[in-house]
Amino acid sequence: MARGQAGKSGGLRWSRLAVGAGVLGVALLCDLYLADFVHDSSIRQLFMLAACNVLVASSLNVINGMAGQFSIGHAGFVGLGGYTSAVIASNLHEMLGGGEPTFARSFIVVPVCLLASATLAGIFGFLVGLPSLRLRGDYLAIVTLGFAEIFRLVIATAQAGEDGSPIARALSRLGGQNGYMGIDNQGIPLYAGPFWVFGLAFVLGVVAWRIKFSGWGRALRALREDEIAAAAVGVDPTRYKVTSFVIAAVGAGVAGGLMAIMRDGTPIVNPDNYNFQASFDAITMVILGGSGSVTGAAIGGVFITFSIKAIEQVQATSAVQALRREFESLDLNALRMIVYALVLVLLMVVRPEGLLGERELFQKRRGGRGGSGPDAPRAGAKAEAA
Amino acid sequence: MGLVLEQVTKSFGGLRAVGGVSFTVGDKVIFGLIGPNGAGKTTVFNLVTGVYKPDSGAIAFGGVDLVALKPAQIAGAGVARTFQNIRLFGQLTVVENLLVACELQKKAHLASAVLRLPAHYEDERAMHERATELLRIFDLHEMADEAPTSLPYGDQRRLEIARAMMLGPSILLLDEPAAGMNYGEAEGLKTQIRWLRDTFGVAIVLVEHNMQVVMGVCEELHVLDHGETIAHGTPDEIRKHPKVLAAYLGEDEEAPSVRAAVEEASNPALPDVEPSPRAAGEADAATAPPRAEKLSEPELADLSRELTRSLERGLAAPDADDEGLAEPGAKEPAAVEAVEVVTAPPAPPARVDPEVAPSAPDVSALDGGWGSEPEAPARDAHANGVDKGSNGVGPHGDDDPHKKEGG
Repeated sequence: MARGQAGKSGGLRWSRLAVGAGVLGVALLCDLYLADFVHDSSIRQLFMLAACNVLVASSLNVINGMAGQFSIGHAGFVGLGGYTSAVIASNLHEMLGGGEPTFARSFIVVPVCLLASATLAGIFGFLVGLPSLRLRGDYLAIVTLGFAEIFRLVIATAQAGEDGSPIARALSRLGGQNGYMGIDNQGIPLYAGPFWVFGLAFVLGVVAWRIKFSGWGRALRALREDEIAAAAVGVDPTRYKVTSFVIAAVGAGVAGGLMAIMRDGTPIVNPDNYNFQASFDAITMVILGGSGSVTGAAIGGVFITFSIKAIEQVQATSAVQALRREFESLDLNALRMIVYALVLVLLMVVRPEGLLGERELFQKRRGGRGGSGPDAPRAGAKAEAA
Repeated sequence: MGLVLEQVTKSFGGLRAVGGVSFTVGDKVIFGLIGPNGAGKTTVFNLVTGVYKPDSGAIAFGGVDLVALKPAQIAGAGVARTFQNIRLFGQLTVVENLLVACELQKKAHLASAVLRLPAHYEDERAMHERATELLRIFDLHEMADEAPTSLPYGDQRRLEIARAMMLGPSILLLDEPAAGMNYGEAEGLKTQIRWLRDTFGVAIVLVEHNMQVVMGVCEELHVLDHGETIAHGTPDEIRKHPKVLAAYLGEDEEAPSVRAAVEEASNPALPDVEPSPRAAGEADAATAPPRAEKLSEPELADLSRELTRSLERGLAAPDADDEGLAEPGAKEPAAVEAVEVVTAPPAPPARVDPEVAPSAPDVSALDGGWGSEPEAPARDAHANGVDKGSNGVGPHGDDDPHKKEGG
C-alpha cells in the first residue's frame, strides 16, 4: 500500500513538474515573441490585464468564497501592492542605470517589487483581518471598505506642507490625485512581461487550488458553515480567518504589483484605479464565477476584464461619440456598473451560487481526494489564454 | 482526574443560568446531567467546551485548566461534544465532516499542502484511513461521499458522534442524543452509549431528557434546576430524591400526596400518561384506586385536581431554554418526556404507546445496534433539527452566542 502510494505520487510529481515547466516555457515564449504575433499593444494589454484580474479574483475568492467572510475593500490591497511595486521598480530602475526595461533585468526588479508588495499587503491584511474575529457580515464589509477608502484618500490627498512630517512628505511624492508616474514623472518602468504575468497567474492559481483542496481549505469550508461546530472539532476560527485574510491580501498585493509594472500597461498608478468600483469589479468576478470556485474566479476575472474592454470599444465607436455630443452626460463606463448590477441581480435570481457554484471546471468528483491536482487541464486553459 | 467543575457560575444579563455548580466526572464513567428545561445543562456544556467563559469558578480536565483555553484547544485537550440541534457541515461530504476533525492532529501544515510535500500525502492518507475506519465502525461508510443533510436523522446523530470520536477524545459530551427518538431507538441508544464507553474508553457526559435513557445507562447523575445543583447520586437515589421530583413536577412541598401519587404512577403496570389534561386525568384516575381505601372522596378529588395541575405545569409546558429539543416535532418529544419522567423504572416494550412512538419497530428495540430509523418521525425531526432558523435563542442563547454579537 505504502509503496504503491509512493510510486503513484512520485509519478504524479514528475508529470506535474513537466506541466509546470511547460506552462512556464509557454509564458517565456510569450514574453519573447508575443509582440511579434499580436501587434496591437492594447490587445496584449488586455490579455495581461485579464491574467492580473484572475489573480485579483482568486485572491478575493480565498476570503469571500472559501472563508465566507465578506470583504468589499479588495482594491485597497491591490492598490497597496500597486504603489509599492511602482515606487520600488522606479527606484531600482534608476539604480540600475535607467534605459529600456530589459527582460534580463526583470529577474531582479520583478521579484523584489512583488515580494515587497506581497509583504506590505500581507501586513495590512493581518491588521484588517484581526477585527474580522469579532465582526461578521455587513460589519466586516464596512471595515474592509473603510480600509480601502482610507488607503485611497490618504494617497490622493497627501500634500507636503513646508514643515510636513516625513511621512506626509513621502506620501506627497506619490503624486496625490494625479497619480504616481515614477521618478521625475518619467513613467513607471514596465518590467513585468507576459512571462511574469501569465506565469504567476498560473502558479498562484495552482496555489489557490491546492489551498482549497487541502485539509486547510476543508477546515475553512467547515468554519464558514458552522463556526461553533468547527471550533468544537479543533478548528480555531481566529487562526483560520486571519490567515485567510492574509493570504487574500498577499495575493491582491502581488496582483496589484504586477498590474503597476505590467508591460504594455499604463506607466502610471492612480488612486482612482483603486476606488470602490474596482473592489466591486473584484466581487463581481468572484460571484459571477461562483464563490469558492478557483476556476470560477478565473473565468470571472477574464470575463469582467474583457467586458470592460468591450464596453470601452463600444464607447469609442463613432455612433456613441455622436450620441455623446448630443447628450454630454452619457458615459457608458458608468453604465457598466448598471449592467453589472443587472447581471448580478439576474444571477442571484437564476443561479445564486454563480456560474460554477463551488465546483470546479476540471474536478474529478465532488469532494474527491484532496490530492488530485488540476495542473494538466489548467495548463491547457492557460496556454489557450496566452 | 477526569473532568472537574468547581463552583462554576455563569449569568446572562440578570439571568443566572448556572450558579455554583460543582461536580467531577471520573474516567470512563457514564455521567448524566439532567434537569427540567432551562436548568442550565447545555450552558454547562458550553462552559466546559469554551463556547462561554464562566463568570467564576474553575473547570479542569485531566489537570488542564479549560477556562484559559479556546474552544479549539479544548477539543485538542480531549473534550469532544455533540450538539443538541445537530451541527454537521452540510456542504461537506460525510467523510469530509470527519476529516475536518483531524486538522488539530495534522503534522503537515498549509505550506506543505501547497507544495504537496510527501508529508501532506502521508497526512491525508492517515486521516482518510482513520476516517474510513470510524465510518465503518459507525456503519456510515456506505454514505461516505454523500451530503450529510441527505442522511436520515438517526444517521446524522451518529455521524456527529463519529466526528467527535475522530478527535480521539477522553471525554465525550452528548447533548440530548435521544431527542426525537422513539422508544425503540432510545433503547438502541442505551446500548450504543455503553458500547462507546467500552470500545473507546471514553467518559461520557449525557444531557438528556429521556429518562428511559438516563436511568438505563448512567452510572452517576447530577441534577440541575434553575442553574443550581439539587441532587447528585446514582439513578436509584435520584429517582426517589424529593427535590428532583419537586423540580420535575413543580414546587409543591405542602402536598406530599402528589409526590406519592406520582411515584405510584411510575408503577410499570399502569398505563401511560400524556401531557394533555385529559390524559393526565386518566393517569390520575388510574393512580387513584390503590390509594382510595386510605382517602376519603373529597381528598381524592383534591388529589386528582392537584396532580393534573402539577403535570400540566411541570411537564407539559417546556420553556424556551432547551428549544432545540422542544422544536423537533413539538408534540412528540414532549410526549416522550412526559412518559419517561413518570414511568422512569424499567419499562417493558409492550407498554410502548402507539401514539408516542408511531412506528416503533420492536425489532430495533431488541437488536440494540445502531438501529434503523423509521421514516416519518425521522424526517420530521430532521427538518426541525437541522434548520438553523429554528435555533432557539432563548434567554440563555443556548447554542449560538454569535447571533447576539451581530446585534
